[in-house]
Amino acid sequence: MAKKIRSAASTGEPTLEKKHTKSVRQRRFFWIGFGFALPWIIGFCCFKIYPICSAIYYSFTDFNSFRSPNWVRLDNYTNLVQDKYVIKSLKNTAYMVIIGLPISISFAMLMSLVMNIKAKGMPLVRTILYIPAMVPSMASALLFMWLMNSRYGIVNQGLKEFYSIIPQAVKDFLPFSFKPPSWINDPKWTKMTLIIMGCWGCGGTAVIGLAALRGVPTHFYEAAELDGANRWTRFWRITIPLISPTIQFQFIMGIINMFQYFTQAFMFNMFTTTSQVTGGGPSDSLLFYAINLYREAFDYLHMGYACALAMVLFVIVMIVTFVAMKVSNKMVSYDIE
Amino acid sequence: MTKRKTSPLLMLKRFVVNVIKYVFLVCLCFIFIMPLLWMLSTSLKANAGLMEFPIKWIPDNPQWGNYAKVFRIVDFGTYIKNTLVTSLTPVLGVLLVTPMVAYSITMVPWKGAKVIFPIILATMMIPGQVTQIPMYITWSKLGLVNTYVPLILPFFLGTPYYIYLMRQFMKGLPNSLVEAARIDGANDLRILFSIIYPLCGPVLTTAGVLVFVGCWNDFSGPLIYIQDSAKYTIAIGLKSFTLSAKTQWELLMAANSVFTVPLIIIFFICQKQFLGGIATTSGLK
Amino acid sequence: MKKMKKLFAVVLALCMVLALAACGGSDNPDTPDTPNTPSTPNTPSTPETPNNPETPSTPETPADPGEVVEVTVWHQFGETTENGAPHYYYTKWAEEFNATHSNIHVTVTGAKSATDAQTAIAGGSTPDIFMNQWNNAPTWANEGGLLDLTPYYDAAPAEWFNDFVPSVLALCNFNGKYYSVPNSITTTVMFYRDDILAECGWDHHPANTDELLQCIKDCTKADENGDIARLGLLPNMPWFDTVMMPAVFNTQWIADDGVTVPADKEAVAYMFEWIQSVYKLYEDEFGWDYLTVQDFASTVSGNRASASDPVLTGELAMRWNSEGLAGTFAKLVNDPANNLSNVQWSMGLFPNVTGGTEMAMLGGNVWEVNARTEHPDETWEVLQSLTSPETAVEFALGENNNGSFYAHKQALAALAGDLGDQIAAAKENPDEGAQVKKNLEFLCDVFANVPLQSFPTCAYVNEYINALGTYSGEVFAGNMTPMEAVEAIVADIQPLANENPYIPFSYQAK
Repeated sequence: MAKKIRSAASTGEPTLEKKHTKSVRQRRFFWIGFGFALPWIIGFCCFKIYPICSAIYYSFTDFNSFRSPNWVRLDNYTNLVQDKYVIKSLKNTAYMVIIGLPISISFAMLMSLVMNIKAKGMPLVRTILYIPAMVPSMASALLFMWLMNSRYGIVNQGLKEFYSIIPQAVKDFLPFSFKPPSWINDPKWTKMTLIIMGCWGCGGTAVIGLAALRGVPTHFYEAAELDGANRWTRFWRITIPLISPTIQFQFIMGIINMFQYFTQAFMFNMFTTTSQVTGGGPSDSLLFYAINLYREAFDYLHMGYACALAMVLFVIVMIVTFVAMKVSNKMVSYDIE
Repeated sequence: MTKRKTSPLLMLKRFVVNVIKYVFLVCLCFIFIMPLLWMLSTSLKANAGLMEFPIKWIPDNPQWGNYAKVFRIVDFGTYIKNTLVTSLTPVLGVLLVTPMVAYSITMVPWKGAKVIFPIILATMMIPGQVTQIPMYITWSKLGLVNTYVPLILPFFLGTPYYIYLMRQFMKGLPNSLVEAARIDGANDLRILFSIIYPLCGPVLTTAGVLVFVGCWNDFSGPLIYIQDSAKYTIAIGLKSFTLSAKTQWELLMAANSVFTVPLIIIFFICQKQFLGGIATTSGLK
Repeated sequence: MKKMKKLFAVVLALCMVLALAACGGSDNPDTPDTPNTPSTPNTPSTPETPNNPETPSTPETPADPGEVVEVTVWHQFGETTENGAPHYYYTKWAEEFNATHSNIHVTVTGAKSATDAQTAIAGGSTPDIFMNQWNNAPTWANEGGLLDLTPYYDAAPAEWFNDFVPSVLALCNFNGKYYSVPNSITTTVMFYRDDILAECGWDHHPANTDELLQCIKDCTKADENGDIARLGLLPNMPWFDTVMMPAVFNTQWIADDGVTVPADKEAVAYMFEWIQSVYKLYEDEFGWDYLTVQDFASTVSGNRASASDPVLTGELAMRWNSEGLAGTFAKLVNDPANNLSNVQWSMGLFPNVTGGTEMAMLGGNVWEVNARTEHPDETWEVLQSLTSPETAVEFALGENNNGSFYAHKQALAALAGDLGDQIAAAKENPDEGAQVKKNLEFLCDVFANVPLQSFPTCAYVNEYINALGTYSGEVFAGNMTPMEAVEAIVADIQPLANENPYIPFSYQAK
């Protein structure tokens, strides 16, 4: 794209000066680009390089955060491969990325569409939809556990009601007898509970989606309407392509964040198990990669090992993100004419 | 839309659609407003437990004294003052700096753009737990621990998440705009702030609000870098309160309400700006 | 254009310098961040030389008489100004200390968790004194984060040292050295609903674990739908007590040789089996599987320590809990607004396995000193004042005026005597006052006279606690047999135990 602009801009100029102008322009653009990116470059040099490099260095040492580290070569990495908690936590994290991410992104997009409905009182509706994301995480986690309580929680009450209106004749054909899930204590359901909780607190992601929807110029819709396109076609042909960069953003950020899933699980484990050591929920079903990493770094003081864990995670996320970028780039269009 | 003729049948149809729409919205709102209602109602109860079935939304005998007690125990006045510093300045930083960096990697044809963007993405992939201590060491070497600088300055140095967000939005803008302005001789600062900036209205406001909410809610940063209780922020105040109130849910929820209500009001006011975004954008041809 | 270039060059240079300053200076994170600190007379001794007591350290640059030394104290409680909260007493103490000491100035900061302290210590000499949970102390000591306080302990006056409850000092000792000073102490006791027990034919508390199992069975009740109306006891609510259980079942987590974990596999397996038998009882007699019981537990546990606490509502006939609940119960039961006047409750020690000896668990918070503190002597002076018997007596009034337990004989005696009377008299409701007084007498007696057992302060205590929690959970859920769980724990922990032999603590009064 950049090339196009440059060549388009220089076509009007005499051919003799072309080469010279080009290099001048190039240099000028370099300084402009550099200047605009300078705050980030400074921040990166001063506050990112050192922490990242030291984390890489520590990953080859037995650093415990107090004593000066000793070089242990690849020991941390070889231990890591045999660590059963690492394998367990990777499985749990993969569940969140593969199952949790699509659910939460689709739900967030749905919410941004709802926020974009034209109706009276929408400012209030938008504010309300954002409330779970504003309430302190402790309060919302507590409330959520109350909602999902398997005995009396609203969710299971609703499920029971729903089951009771199914006619007996149909029930006889069902291969199973219905029992509402134990959302908080059953290792099979705990991760799903966190995913649902994520959907409920999707305000932040939804608001970004809303901003994208707001950015779609209305004349596109007007033109399409004149062409006789119905709502459905307009949605798929105009809305989705135009907000595809945002969807891609949410998708990529979702991958990065899901691999580092921490806060909600940490909170959840804190309320369900009262242990002096960071726990992993029922049968370690909520032992995510970052939880395990935190436990190694701060409960066991294996900072060096935790850094090795972080590096492995970094590589995994990098590969997944790279693939996701390559695949999704084909589906994203930045301009529509 | 009002130009259409209004036949009775069409009016009926529209009425039905509206009813469905509003019923749907009300149901949805109920699910999402529950935390707030629950917080408020618990905060007005006496000796409340956490699990109550069925829940009593309106307490029999509202204990307004719970709020008085919260204000007596925690110095919210000072905390709010400090919090405004630590949450408004970052908003300024993000609004000022992230569009610049995003502009550099989308609108300026220079070699660095292709290098910077992957690095920005990569920096987000390293878990914060392992960089926390080296970060602290850095700030401590600079003698800036126990000041607000470690909490504020990073926002003036480009936040990766928002740079990426801005980049996605700017890539959607027609390049011809910038090119035309350059031919007209406008310098890039002007192009950014008088052409691109208004076009990014909705996303900028969104970023601003998200940053504000994030800083308001953040207690781990201040707890690490602030060592003087006179400089504590409201999120630490809340955490403090949680530590000492333990299972006194009514007091805890009163404190949570005091913490959240200002945020909700600010959001309610700000989201008008989201609406404002339309006009600017559709004005573009 | 040229100007711009120059500007960029300057800014770039500046940023490089900053980056270098940030990186270069801190390559070695264990040098304190000020250049003129005393060279290390006070670095903690490494575990390789555990039996090499150091002489009390004196900093090379003793503070000038005119210079005021800053000492920071971090604690983990909320920073609330409420009268009765620990922060209130700590700040009050600091004010008094600062008023009487011209050469030292103490600052108290609250709400600082162990993670915050760890980050700060890794980066420098703040804080000087901080609070930590007992389970972190041995790990941190082993990893070099804490100042070895043994020389100071040796030099301290006998009346300071001898006033500590002896068993509490075990929590502060690691491999024969002192790394922390006791602060508060806590234990777990059984809370019984005496009226429910009586209704179910029990006029006395169960005397041993067999009786307890029978009592649990007798007190459990189903409602008309067959759902849980009342449970006798929930073995892992609020938690599975890794400290108390071995005491009850007459075993130890680490054998006397300091290496074998646990001391007696059969005893630990029996312990798991006993807890499992409670769940089996619910399943076999009433048809409630483990998940059903757990769901019930998470429902009622949200109401802990409120007017609808499961023990007060009769959803649980008994529960073990930390002793702090007693004050709350006294207040709630005697508050007429709660309609709980029919509730009869009392406390007791956990029944022992037949033939076992009476014991109680011990936990608590400890004060520790940053290994990188710049003024160890002044810091010790502050710490000694903070943990003096007199200060402890003052602090004992706290915890919302229900009395709080500090690891001092004098403070406990005061709480059982005059101070307890004072607390009781200050209550508006005389019934509550009487109840509080009774509680304090009982608990002070437990702390002072019952043998208290704590978790061994081994270097791998957190790993051990985690393994115990994880595998015991698998046993209760029916995924593992008790013996399998014990073997799995041994497989995880024995290698660590072999590397870090545990040296038990032996108390000797001065």
